Order: sequence, then structure tokens, then C-alpha cells
Amino acid sequence: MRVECTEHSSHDMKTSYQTASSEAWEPPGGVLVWLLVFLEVITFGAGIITFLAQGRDHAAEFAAGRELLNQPLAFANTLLLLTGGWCMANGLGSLRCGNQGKSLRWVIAAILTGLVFTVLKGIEYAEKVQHGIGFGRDVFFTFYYALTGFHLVHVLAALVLLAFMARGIRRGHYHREEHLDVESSGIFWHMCDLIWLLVYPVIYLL
Amino acid sequence: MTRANTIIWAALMLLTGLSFVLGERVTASRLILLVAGVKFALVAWQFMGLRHAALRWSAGLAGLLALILGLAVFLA
Repeated sequence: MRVECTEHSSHDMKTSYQTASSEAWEPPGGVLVWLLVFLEVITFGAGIITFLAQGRDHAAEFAAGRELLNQPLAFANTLLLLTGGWCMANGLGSLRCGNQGKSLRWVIAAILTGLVFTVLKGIEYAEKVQHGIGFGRDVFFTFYYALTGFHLVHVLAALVLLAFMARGIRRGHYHREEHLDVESSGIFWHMCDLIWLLVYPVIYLL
Repeated sequence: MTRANTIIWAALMLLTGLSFVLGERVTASRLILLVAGVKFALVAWQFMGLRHAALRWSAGLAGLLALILGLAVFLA
């Protein structure tokens, strides 16, 4: 695998840990984080399929439940997560090119999008609770809280990881030659996007 | 910041807007899931860097995505 310095596309470089023999095998960030990505997509995929299967048996309840969801807030959250992914991709690109200052600013921007996502999700939950819609009210809202809440836990974990990465970049621990941790954390962050891209349409739009 | 990342980000924004509009239509569930699949693939390919990895990783994730979306289309 070759990962280019994305600010200067002619300047190709390998990630620091890779050897020639592992080049053709290992994905960006290493194998372990990608195994985690697969497991999480399988887990959320199973949850989504179960949710849709339940929706066939409780069609009226699911239609009524969707009417109570805050669509604009969920839409804004989707835009925020995708923008956070863009920021992280640019942050890693800058780090690969040796531009630590720029990389730090992008990673901080990614963290900010995640924090705003968390605040908006908190507002959404608070609205529901104020209207007496809690976990276990019915099948629809049990799945709603379970899937979106579990996703939120992943976002919070990713934010902690990115905060450590930002500190590491600021202190010079991560740079052009040493950035595997940032790459792996970025994959975890993007995984939150992937999961949300499946959860959002199924819960809010269908 | 690379041009490719920005183009993909802009496409993701547009596709999200399209999903939101399609969400108002009861009959568009298959299209909404298709758009979700395209967005998933774009994030994995460009932002997560799967384009740099061995084909087996892309194929594995694409297979998983196809399985989930196939079942979702069947059930939706």
C-alpha cells in the first residue's frame, strides 16, 4: 500500500510502520482497526436489519414514531459528521506532508464538528424526554435510542482519541514519518460516519 | 486540503441533501438506500483511504455493504 502526501501529490510515501512485504496487504491505519470497522458495520447492520424487520410488524407504530423525530436536526448532524470526516482526511494529509500546524488545525476542526454533533444529539434526546418519549416507550423508540445512543458512544470515544492525537501533533510526537496512531484514530472517526450513513436513512427517512 | 477530498465532501453534502428531499416521498425508500450506499462507498474509498489498500479490503467492505443494503431494500 502506498499513501501519498496529499498536499503534493507527486510525493509518494509509505506509512511509517510498513515494510515492503506488508505493502500489498495492510490497509491504512493497520489491520486491527479495520477488523474493528468490519465488526462494527456487522453489528450495526444487524441492528438495522432487525429494526426494519420489526417495522414490518409494527408499521403504524413506526410511521407515528418517525413523525415525532426531529428531521432537520438529524440532517444537520449528518452534514456535521461528513464535514468532520473531510477535516480529518485533510488533517492526515497535512501530517503526511510534514505540515504539523495545518494538520493540528484540521484535527481540531474535526473535533469541533464532533462536539457540535454531540450537543445537537443531546438537544434531540432532551426534546424527546420532555415529551415523555423515553427508552422502552415502544419498539420504534427502543431501537431509536439503542442505535443512535450506541453510535453516540462511538462518536464520544472517537473524540477522546482525536483529542489525544491533537495533543500528540502539537507536542511533535506525530509528524511526517510517525503518524500510524493518527491514521488509525482517523479510521475510527470515519467509521462513525459509515455507521451513521446506514443508521440515518433507516431511522429518519424511510 | 486536497481537491479530491473537497470534491468528495461536496458530493457527500449534495447527496445528503438529496436524501433529505427524498425522505419526504413515501415511495423513494430504495433510492434513499442507494444514495446511502454511494455515500458509504465514497467515505471508505476517499476519506478512509481504501483506494490505497489491497483490493480484498474494498471487496470485503463492498460485499458487507451490499448484504446489508440488499436486506434493507427487501425489508423496507
